[in-house]
Amino acid sequence: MTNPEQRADLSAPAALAGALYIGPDNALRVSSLNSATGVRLTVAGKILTADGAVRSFVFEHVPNTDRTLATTSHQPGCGWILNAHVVASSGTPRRGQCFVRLQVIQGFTGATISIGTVLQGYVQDTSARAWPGSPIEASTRGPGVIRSVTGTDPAAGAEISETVPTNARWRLLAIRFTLVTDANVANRRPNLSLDDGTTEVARSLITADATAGATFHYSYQMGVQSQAGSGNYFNAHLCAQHALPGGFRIRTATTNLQVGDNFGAPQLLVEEWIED
Amino acid sequence: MKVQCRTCDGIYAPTLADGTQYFHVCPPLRRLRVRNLDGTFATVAPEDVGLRKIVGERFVDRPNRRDENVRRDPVTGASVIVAEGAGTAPVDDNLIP
Repeated sequence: MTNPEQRADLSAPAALAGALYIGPDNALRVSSLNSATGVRLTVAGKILTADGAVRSFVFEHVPNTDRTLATTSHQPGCGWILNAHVVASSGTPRRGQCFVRLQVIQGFTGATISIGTVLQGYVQDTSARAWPGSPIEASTRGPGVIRSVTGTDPAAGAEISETVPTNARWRLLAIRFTLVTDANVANRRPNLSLDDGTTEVARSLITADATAGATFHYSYQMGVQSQAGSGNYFNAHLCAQHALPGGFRIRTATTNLQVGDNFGAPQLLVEEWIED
Repeated sequence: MKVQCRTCDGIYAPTLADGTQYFHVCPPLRRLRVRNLDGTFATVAPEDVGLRKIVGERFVDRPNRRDENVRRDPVTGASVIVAEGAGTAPVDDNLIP
């Protein structure tokens, strides 16, 4: 097999049947959606120019940290791209946090059109996405990043409600929270509800009551039977097969919640992907 | 640093321990659908049910709710939050249990 330097001695069409040609009207566009902090991506590769020289190209791309789309375009020169890769050169994004796509586009600014996808998938600081070599991967394929998320500590009398962020997909693995009940005599049951932002789609039920004037601890998780333990601890079963896209909510729906009842901040264990 | 939402009074950290951003959204309000004594139906707060029969449950958006999720401004192209609500105020960590 010839290496790129040897290929430079060959006529381009014979040597580069699979190479991507970048003409004067073409450019490389990097698009990213990212949730991790402090990430900078390095895009690098080699290009065989029309005069037979093999040159390297390197440029940097800085993703946003709120999962919104960041896009930059670069002109690496005219010729055939021999290889390219993208790696996180700063920051420590995990799989599921920094999704990147490298495309060949027609035009550079203004109205551009994508004419080819070079690579697409998650990148980390420890593993690159490369062309040729890496599959073009959808953002929700494969495992996501496991995150422990601390939610909002609601005011007294309010339910817990956590919304899946825009451009994220969550799979809820577990949620834990406390409820301090007020002095009103009533039997509360903080059930767990999943909804699409408006309409409920699933509900997991607590099977024991929380009475007045005490602190109760709840843990919804997979693989447990709904039951009450000692010390006001309750377990409840959670079906973890629900994929929740952006805008879906994870919230309590409490029977007989009193105005002075006070939930603590929930702690969620979720598997997360980017989903545009 | 934590902040308190001026709409719902919920307290949260805008940046989580893993460095990622947290996007607060005010919790909905629980409302009950009841049958009035004259046979008509109404949606009321739980404390206003009285002797009426509860026939259903609804969760409705809180008035002036805050939603920190991002959307793209159609004019500027910049990322802006969905709804400001009444804003936030910083909270002294030493005053939180």
